[in-house]
Amino acid sequence: MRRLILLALGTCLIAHVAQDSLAGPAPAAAPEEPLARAASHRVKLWQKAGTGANLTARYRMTRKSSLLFEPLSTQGSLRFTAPATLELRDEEPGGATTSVTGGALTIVANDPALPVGPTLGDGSPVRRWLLDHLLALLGARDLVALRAEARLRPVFGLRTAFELSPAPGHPARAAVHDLAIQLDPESGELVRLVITETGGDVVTLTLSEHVRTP
Amino acid sequence: MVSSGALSAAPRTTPLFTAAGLLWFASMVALAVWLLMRTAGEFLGMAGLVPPEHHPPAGSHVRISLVSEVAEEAWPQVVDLLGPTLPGHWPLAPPPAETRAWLDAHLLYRLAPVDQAALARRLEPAALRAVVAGLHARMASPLFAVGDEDPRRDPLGLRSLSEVEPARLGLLAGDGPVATPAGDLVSADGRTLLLYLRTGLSATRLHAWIGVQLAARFGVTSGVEVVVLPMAVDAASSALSASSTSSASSVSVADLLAAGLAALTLVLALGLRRVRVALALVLVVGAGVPLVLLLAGGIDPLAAPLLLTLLGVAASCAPPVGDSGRSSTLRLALALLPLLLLPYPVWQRWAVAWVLGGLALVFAAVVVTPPLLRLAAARPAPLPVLRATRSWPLAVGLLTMVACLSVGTWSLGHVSGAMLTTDRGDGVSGEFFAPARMAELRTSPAVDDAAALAAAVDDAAVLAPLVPAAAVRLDAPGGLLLADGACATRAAQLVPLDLPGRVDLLRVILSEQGMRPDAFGEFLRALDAGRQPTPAAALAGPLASWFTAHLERDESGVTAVSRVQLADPLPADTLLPPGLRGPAVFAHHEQQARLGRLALALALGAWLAAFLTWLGARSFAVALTSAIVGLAAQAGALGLAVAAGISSVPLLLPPLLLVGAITADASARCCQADGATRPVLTFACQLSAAPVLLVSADPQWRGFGLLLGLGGVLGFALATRAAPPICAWLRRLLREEAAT
Repeated sequence: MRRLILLALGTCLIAHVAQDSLAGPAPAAAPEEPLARAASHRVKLWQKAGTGANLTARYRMTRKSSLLFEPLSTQGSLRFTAPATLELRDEEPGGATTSVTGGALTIVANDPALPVGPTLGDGSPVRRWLLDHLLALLGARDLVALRAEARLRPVFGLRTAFELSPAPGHPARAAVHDLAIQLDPESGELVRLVITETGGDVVTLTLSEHVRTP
Repeated sequence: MVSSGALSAAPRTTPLFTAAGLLWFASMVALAVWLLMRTAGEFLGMAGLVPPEHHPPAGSHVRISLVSEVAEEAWPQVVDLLGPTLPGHWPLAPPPAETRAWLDAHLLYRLAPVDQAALARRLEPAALRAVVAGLHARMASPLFAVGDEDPRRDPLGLRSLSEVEPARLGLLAGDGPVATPAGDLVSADGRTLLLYLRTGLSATRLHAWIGVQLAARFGVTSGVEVVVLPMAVDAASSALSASSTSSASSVSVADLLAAGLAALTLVLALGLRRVRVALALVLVVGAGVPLVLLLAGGIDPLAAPLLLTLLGVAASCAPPVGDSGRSSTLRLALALLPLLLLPYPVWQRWAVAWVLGGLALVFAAVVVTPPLLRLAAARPAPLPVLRATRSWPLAVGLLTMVACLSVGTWSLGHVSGAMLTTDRGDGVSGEFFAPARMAELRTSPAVDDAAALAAAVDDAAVLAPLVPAAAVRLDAPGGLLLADGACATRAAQLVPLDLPGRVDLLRVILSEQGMRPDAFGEFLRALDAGRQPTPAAALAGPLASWFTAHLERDESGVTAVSRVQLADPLPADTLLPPGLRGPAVFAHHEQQARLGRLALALALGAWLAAFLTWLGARSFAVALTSAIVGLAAQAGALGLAVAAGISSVPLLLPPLLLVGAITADASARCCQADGATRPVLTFACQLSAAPVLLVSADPQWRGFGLLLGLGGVLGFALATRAAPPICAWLRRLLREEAAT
């Protein structure tokens, strides 16, 4: 019996060595496969949400900034109209309404007595990058737009989360470090977006009550 | 009727003549060997028309592109750090972060005095409260970071009070390339980096240097593409390497020369009906090519047509063809002398080379050809039958002249000063900016860095009004500074605003809105009127390396360099500051002065032809006729050139002057009726280069050939048909004797 076991073990060892030597070195792309697979899974989940083109939702925003003694928190409603119109209407009287239309960004304080900010065009590559990727995220359809001039990385351990950051050398890196995205595991809708700014501010946008319309 | 040979009366071969012939050939062979052994010079092409002071300084643009993911990890470090490790690194734009910090730190000194009232309103307590509340409200937007606000450095939005074009401050527009911390440019997609290295190192050495730096400092051995383009006026010609351009040009010029000599031989053989005589003459004249090249400073492809024409003109003055005297030789030898007064270096060199080379070739042809013919036992060329030329009636001649001059006057409105000095898609720096549009203004040498920067303030003030109509961007250190006197004046204006009190109030308001006043420290410090943008402060501040990069030191002192990127095209009526240098500046001056330069050259050429004719003929009528007929031929040729699409004045000048001189010479001979025995052959020799140039590959050579050929034929017709009756009429008018 002992001989039989030793023979079996020896056979297994020889077979293992032979398999390793015949297979040759592992292909260079092999370590990336899990990464690509993981990203693909999250992308599929994200695209699942894009059955309807337009989106309305509730949001809650928190900004942590070195300019503030305490984090600033607001809440309001989000309205996204495909392909490139977005409005974030803050419910607080001391807050602001953010609008993106045709690539132009306006941030207007809700208090009409306060100075009105300028309308900002899409000339700045930094602004263009963030707006394009935010709109692509909310649209949940255009993978090419999502990946344009960006790096997409899955967050391991969270099957519904991934990160987007400006491509190496892109000017947007001067303002945006990365976007951390978390999706709803069922619907694939964006539920949490964390914008880490290069200056150190961290903006957390939490979405709920998603309603998709064609 | 065939007369006796032209050479029958020539003296017998004497030892002196033989020695002169031997000396001529031996010295020319030695000169040719020496020229061949010498390192080939750089051929400038069209850039040879641009004076050296307008050439860009020695340097290269380097374009590095990220082409593979292999280098992606190290790419951000390459973009930020590579430039300063390279020789002669020169920032193309001020580093954005440091520049912004400098501008914000001296915000109060950048405001114009007329904005004083607006500044006071912004610092009112109510306005301060509203601005801070608005800022707090906008921070509630998740997209606040990508707005144009910079709350840490300018929470009150005071930058907007100073509506200064970013280009005037050297900053780049928002939608194009971006400046890196080292002052280099990176494309909007972040994958291409452009560096400017102000060094005379060759492209090959720079390429190797950059490769070593990339590998050693950043571990990048693949995944990037490096292209080095040396600065040149005519980017299209410099896109090749220097050696390949030189050899290619040499080969094509040698081909052209061989074809030209063959054409001249053919013309002479047909005209003289003696092959040996033709070969001997071409041999003597052709042997003088090294001498002409020595005088002209080398074979410049742009001037190759002049060399070819010179051989034909010299042959036309030699005894077997026509011995028409010193006056005729001088008229032809001084044909290009007006070019000495114009600012084109290659034409200035050729004006001298044409005179000296032409006289030397004629002298050699006169002295060396007869003994060579005797040595070759050549039979003398038969004299042709001289047929009386039927002139046009006076009225027809005058009308033809008026028509030619009218066409010429009309053509003046269509000539251009185009110099081909702009880049034509060189593929290296074109997507960022056109290097040929850069111009520089230098201060007088100063004793130290601070004094040079103080002088640069005046230069920046001179250049600033060019933005935006005439200049796209200003890269001037003086634009960020104020002279000491101006700082003191501004400080006095700020006293009534009670800035310390407003700073204390702002701190309180920020705290009330839940904001940390200390986070706005930079801005609060900028409200200190004691911080002034003086040259001394600049050299001690965060932008010191950028300021010192614009300083050049030599034994005469320190010079500050201000650069400006000129608009393309420049408005025609733009007055550029005196002292501004660059190829685009010269091109602009050329555009503005083209008619004056053309008129000056033609008028001087006509006067010279008239004066030399008068010296030979002592007749105002002949002198006047030759000048007018020459001018008419030039005017007609100008019309033909414009119709053929050749309108660049610098390219038109040499063939036009030659047409004028050849026509004036022929006209003088026809009017005196004692000219060459072979007028047609003389003319054919002078124009023998034209058909060769016409079939050449180079468009500039073809244009030269077309102008010389058609203008020459027109000039010959005018000289032989119209000049005699006009001259006779003028003689009657001036009461001159016909036999003068």
